[in-house]
Amino acid sequence: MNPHDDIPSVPPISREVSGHSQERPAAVKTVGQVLDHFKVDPKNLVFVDDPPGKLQAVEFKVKRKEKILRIEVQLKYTLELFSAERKWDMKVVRRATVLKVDPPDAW
Amino acid sequence: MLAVRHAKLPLNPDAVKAADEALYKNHPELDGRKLTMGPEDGALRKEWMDSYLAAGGAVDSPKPPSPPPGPTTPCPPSTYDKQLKEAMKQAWKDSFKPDGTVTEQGGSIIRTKDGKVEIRRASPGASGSIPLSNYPKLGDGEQLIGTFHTHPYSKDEGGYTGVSFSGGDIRNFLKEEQGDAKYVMAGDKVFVLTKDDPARAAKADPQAALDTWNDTYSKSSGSLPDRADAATKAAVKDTGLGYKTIDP
Repeated sequence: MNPHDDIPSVPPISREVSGHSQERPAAVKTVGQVLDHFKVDPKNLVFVDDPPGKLQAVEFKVKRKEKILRIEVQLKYTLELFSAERKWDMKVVRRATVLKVDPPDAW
Repeated sequence: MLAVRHAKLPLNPDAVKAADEALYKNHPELDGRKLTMGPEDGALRKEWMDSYLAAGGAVDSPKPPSPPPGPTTPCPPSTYDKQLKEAMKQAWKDSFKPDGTVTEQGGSIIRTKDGKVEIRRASPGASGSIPLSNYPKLGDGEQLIGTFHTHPYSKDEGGYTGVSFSGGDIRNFLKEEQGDAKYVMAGDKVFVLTKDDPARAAKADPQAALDTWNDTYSKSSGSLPDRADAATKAAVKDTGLGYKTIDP
């Protein structure tokens, strides 16, 4: 099995073409919008917390042509995003506000 | 193993000047470029240090082999002095807001052009942690010794103290230019990462360190501080980083 089989393949985004299946939402507001855009399976998310337990970002990989790209979605921390167990409720994570998507040109 | 020599602080400004002049005279190809802490400049750093010593500079006593991580051990006085202690205590106080919420505070430990050590605070981030871009920028001829930041928890977050590095902290320390030491002030404890073996640290996989931290945390038991400590010990193993816990 190819270790990258479960990484979604995402074509480059044309921001001028409306109706494209991968079209970026006009104004990104939530982590859920980004995950849906990239068709990310939550089991493939890496959670980045700092200090430990306070979720600051989620990361995932996508295939862009033959390259594997790591995308970081920085989010606005709120008390709901604290977990001493480091087990975050995906419903809460999905509605978290996005501060930045990195690299920006992947988006 | 690579022997690492640290210049004793405060630096001898005359010896610094002499070592700089000798280095740039012998290596005009550097064109005044500042040496990096990476393995590519290892030989040049050694040469600089030889000149520094020859010109009257001093180094700290050789460090004994690093003890196994865990018990409280003293931190090299060259980087953990009174000035830094006070700055970290102040940053810890500043981390707690009157409304009961908290936000990370921190700063950089910078060696100035004339060899003095200055602590400069970073701007707090908008989301509880400090983005790397908020740390002070270096001026001409300045060198980043290390960074520090706090790990505060509000009452609503359990009010924890003594929480060590996150996986992201370790990844950033390996991946970015953050000096040779990174401190976390966690109230009743200070945690320290040091680049004990810079060549090995330069080759370590930052992402693997974060993954190890995450895996170890999820498999460990105990309190949040205990699990973060266990995860940090596992993440720094075989990376060339040293990990210590010291008193604030």
